This record gives sequence, C-alpha cells and structure tokens, in this order.
Amino acid sequence: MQTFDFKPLEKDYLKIFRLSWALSLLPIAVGPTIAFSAIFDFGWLLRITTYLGIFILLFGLIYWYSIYWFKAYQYKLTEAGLRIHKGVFWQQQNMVPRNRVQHIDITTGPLERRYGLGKLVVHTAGTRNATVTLPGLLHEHATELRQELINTNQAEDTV
Amino acid sequence: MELKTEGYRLHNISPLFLFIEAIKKSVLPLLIGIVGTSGEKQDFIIIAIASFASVITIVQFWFYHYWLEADRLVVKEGILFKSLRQVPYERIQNVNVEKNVLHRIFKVATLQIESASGVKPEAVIRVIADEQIKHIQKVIKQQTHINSEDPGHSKEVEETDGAMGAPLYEMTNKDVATYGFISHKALVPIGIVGSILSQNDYYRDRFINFMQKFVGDLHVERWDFSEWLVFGGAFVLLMMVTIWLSSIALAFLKFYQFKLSKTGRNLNAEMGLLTKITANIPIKRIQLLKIKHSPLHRYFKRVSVKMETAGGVTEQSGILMNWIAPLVSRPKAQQLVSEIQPEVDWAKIKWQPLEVRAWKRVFKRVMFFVLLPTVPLIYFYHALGMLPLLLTPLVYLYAKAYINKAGYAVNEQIIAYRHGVIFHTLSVVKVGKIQNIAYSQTPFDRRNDMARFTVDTAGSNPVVQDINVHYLDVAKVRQLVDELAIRVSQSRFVW
Repeated sequence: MQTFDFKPLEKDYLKIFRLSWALSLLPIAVGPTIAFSAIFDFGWLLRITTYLGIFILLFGLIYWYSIYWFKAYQYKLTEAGLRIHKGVFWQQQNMVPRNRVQHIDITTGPLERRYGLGKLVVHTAGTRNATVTLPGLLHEHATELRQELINTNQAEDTV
Repeated sequence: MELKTEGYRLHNISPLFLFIEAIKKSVLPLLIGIVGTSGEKQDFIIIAIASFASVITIVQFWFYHYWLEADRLVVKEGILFKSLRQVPYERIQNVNVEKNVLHRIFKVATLQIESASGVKPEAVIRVIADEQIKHIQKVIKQQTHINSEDPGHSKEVEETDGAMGAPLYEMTNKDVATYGFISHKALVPIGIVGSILSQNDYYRDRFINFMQKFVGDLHVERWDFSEWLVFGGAFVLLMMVTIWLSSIALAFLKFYQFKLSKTGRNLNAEMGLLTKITANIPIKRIQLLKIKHSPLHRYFKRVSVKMETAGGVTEQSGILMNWIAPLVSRPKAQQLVSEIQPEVDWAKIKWQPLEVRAWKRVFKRVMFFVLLPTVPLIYFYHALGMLPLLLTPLVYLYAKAYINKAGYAVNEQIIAYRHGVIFHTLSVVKVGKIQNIAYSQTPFDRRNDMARFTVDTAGSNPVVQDINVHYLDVAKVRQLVDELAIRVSQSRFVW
C-alpha cells in the first residue's frame, strides 16, 4: 500500500491560479472604476489609469495571498486514506477513508492541459462533503493516485 | 441470464391516480396563484392548458411495466424517452407504501422503492393492487436474504414472515394529541393560508369591512388599559387555541395509530389517519439516530426519536419516513434505540465535555447579536435604547449552559454528539457509516487553539450537519481525526 507525507501541489498550478484570477479581475476592476469616475468626474485618460491602478492593486493582493494559499494547500496519503489540508484564514482538513471512495474523476481545464495538470475529484456516499477535490496534480500523478485509491478499495469492500 | 422485457402492468384504476397526482403538481399551485391575485381571464386559460396536460399524463399507464427477476426489480417506463431501470434487491433501502381513502376504496396502493441514489426515489409504482404489493414485498425480502452473505438469517425471516413482530413502540391517541400540541405544526400552514388570502382584493376588502364594523361597535377609542388587556389577551388566546387545535388535527392525520415493529432485520412502521403510510426499513441501512427535545417536550417529560436513511428522499420528492418514535418517554427511548441497534453497547458511552473556556466565545458571539441592534436603538431612543443590555446576564447563563449541555462521545462502535440549550439534539452515528472526517478552523478558532470537527454520513441533511463538534482543543481534534480515520478504514461500509 502506497503512502506519502504532506506534499504541496505542482508549482505550475500557482501560475494557473494567478492567471485565472487575473482574468476574472479584468471585469471585477470595472466596478470600482465606474464608482471613482462618477465621484471625481474624470477624463478618459484618468479613467483608464484608475482602471489599471485598481487592477494592479487587486492583483497584487491576490498575488501576495496566493503565496500563502499555495503553501497551505497540501495533501497526504496514509494507510487510512487521503487527507487534504487547505485554507489561509479559514483552514480545513478533509480526510477520505480509502474504503469509502465510490468513484474518482479526473478533470482538466484548458489552462491545466497546457501544463499537463489535472484535478482529482473523489466522490463518497456522503452528503455535505460528498465530493472532495484536489487540483494541481501532474496528470500522471493524478492517474496513479486514482489507481491507488481504487485498488485498495476493491480489495476490502464490496459495498 | 436472459432478461425478460415485459411483466406486470399498473392496476386498471391507475390512470385516475396518475391524473390526481398530475393535478396536484400542476393545477393546484396555479389555483392558489389565482386566489392570491384575484384571477383574470388569462389565468383560467393557463389552468385549462395545465388540466389538459394532466389528462395527457394518463398515457403513462400504457407504457409502464415492471417485473421481478431473480436478483433485481426492473421498471420500464416512458413514451418518447424510454427508460429501463434495474434495481438489485440488495441495493433497496426503504420500501414505502401509501394508501389514502381513495386507494382504500379501490383496494390499491402506491409503492415507493428507494435505493441510496440520492434525492429521488428509485421507483414509484402508482398504483397496484394490495395483493401485488404483498407479493413484491415478499419477493424483495426473500431475495435480499438469499443474496446476502449471511445465510443463517434467511431461516429466521421465513419463521417470522407474515406474522408481524411484537410492536416496539405504539402511539396512543393521547400521545398523538400531545405531539400535535408540542409541535405547533399548523403555525406555518395557517400563516401561508393567511398571507395568500390577504393578497386577494375581494377577501381582503371583506375582511377589512368586517373588522371595521366589528371594532367600530366595540368603540376601541374609548377603551382604557384594562379593556385592551382583556381583549388583547382573549385574541392571543383565541389564536393559540386555533393553532393548537389544528396542530393536533394535523398530528392525527399524520401519526394516527403510529406503530413501529421489528421483523427479523427490518423495521416496519405504520401511520396515518386518511393517508396511511407503511414503511419498511432494513435496520442495517439506518445511517444516523437522533433524539430531540424542546422545552415543551421536557414539560411533558418526552423526547422524539428520528433516523436518517441513505435514500435522501424529502417530503417534496416522495413518501418520507424518518420516524422511530414521534413522542416517547426518555427511558423508553433509550430502550428503543438499544433494541434497534443491540450491537452498540450504550452503557459504554462516555460523554466528553467541550472546552470549559469556550463559554466566553459563546458569550461574545451572542452578545454581538444583542449589541448589533442596540447601536441604532441608542441613536434613536437614547438611554431607552440601552434596554437590550439588560439581557447580558441571560446571555451569560446561556453561554454557560451551552457548554454544559454540549458533549461528544467516541468509542470503537460509534460517535455521538449532543448540543442545544433550548432545543436539544443528540445524534449517534456508527463508525461503519462514516463517509468523511474533517475539521476546520476559523481565525477565531486559531486564536483560541480550537477547531470544529465534523463527520459526514450518507443521506444526511446537508444544511444541518448533525455531528458537528465545535469549541474543542485543536490537539484533541487532530488526535480524534487520526483515531477515527483508522477505525473507519478498518470497518466495512454497508449501505
């Protein structure tokens, strides 16, 4: 039975995390820009500068936050099961026993495919925490982990 | 094995019940809408269309087949989009039967079969003859035991088959009435009916006219304080009595002659006055047991016992049966629970307290919600706005009581959690039914070195997690997670 201690996600996933935040900040930064232009009655040049300023400010915050977010996101495989720890301010640790795994999906987005990454989605029969996701794994590692979890499961459990 | 492609059909009277069901789902909400908005012509056109659509649903009848194979139940349905559903007997969780007055006239019933598939029941057979239901139940029972790996039990089942086991619990009419009184179930429906009626111009005008005339004759403007008190008190009393009486009536409709019995490895429950529900639940499928009591429960020295099964059917999506005993004395509840799960050693449960210092956190938390409205109140009413601060000692007592009443217990067989000052709940989950173990820490938790510990089960309520132990030392929680993780991974999960 394969086990390993707490591991961080792939470094590339941090890039994806930041890039996807940058993309979603593009429209988000429009809101404050409109508010500022309404209050101060800017010209076009100043409006664009404000937009860029807000975007850079927000992205800077995300960039800084993501360092800690990435550091906190860790996973571990024990004999009992898969453990995932995450969260900076609100922290949580999730433990899925091996013999409670119902099925496992691996999903990849367009950005993740570029870096050869995949997201492991583990399903259990529970309700609130019925799906546990683990992003930022190399695709082949995700496949291995899936195989490992499913194999040990079959040996012990028929449901 | 060769699959048969046809089998039993629904009972000949089925179209009537299919039609009624469709009317219930489509036309009734529209009718309520009309009462609410003092309907115009176009509303009636919509209703006409919905009624026509309901008639169409009857066609299902000719396309619904089901049959019983050696190891599974097969249901084939659909007109344009056909579906063939195969449910292995071992996977069947609950078998519920519903009979209302109309069903009884035609000697038929609706049969609902649940597996652990989630929100919707696996099959709803609407409607088939009584004898046919008995036949299906018998087949399911026999086949489950033949296929289960424990053959010793099949003999036992045959012995007790037919004759219902001695009832574990029965509800007397007095119990039902008390339950109705305690539950206040009619409060919400009465409110809904009232608010719908108040949307209708015609009824509202009539009501206002009536009240004006009524109140005008009473000469309210000349009342002094004592008269206000008497009439106000009488009005409140009248409302309370209305709510109590209708709640008791609702309780009788639902729980009349509630009976729970144990046959072999199954629980059988019966209840209902006009609509009678018969439910069959394999004991090993029970995911969680809950004992609840409110202040009124405590006044009558009673508790309610409920269970959760993996079916996950809600009141909207099907026939729901999650009662062990709606109203029962505390020692009897204990006895019931230990009869249902005799393998759990209830005497061995040792309750552990939460952290005593956590009362400060509960206190601060509740005080925050007291102070929140106080700020604007002080702004508007000055010194009088400080009145909510008089609640402080009460909040203190509440915080202390919260920590005192809460507790958790873990041993080789179960994990249990109890909490609540006013409404108290005690939940028990067997280790084998645990799906997922988690703990979380908010910034406040980390400041106090505490954590929240949760356990997930199948078919549980996703909003209110029952095993949700907060205000525990984080070191204890980590150890608990480790211990439980090993225990869970060593115990096989049987649905």
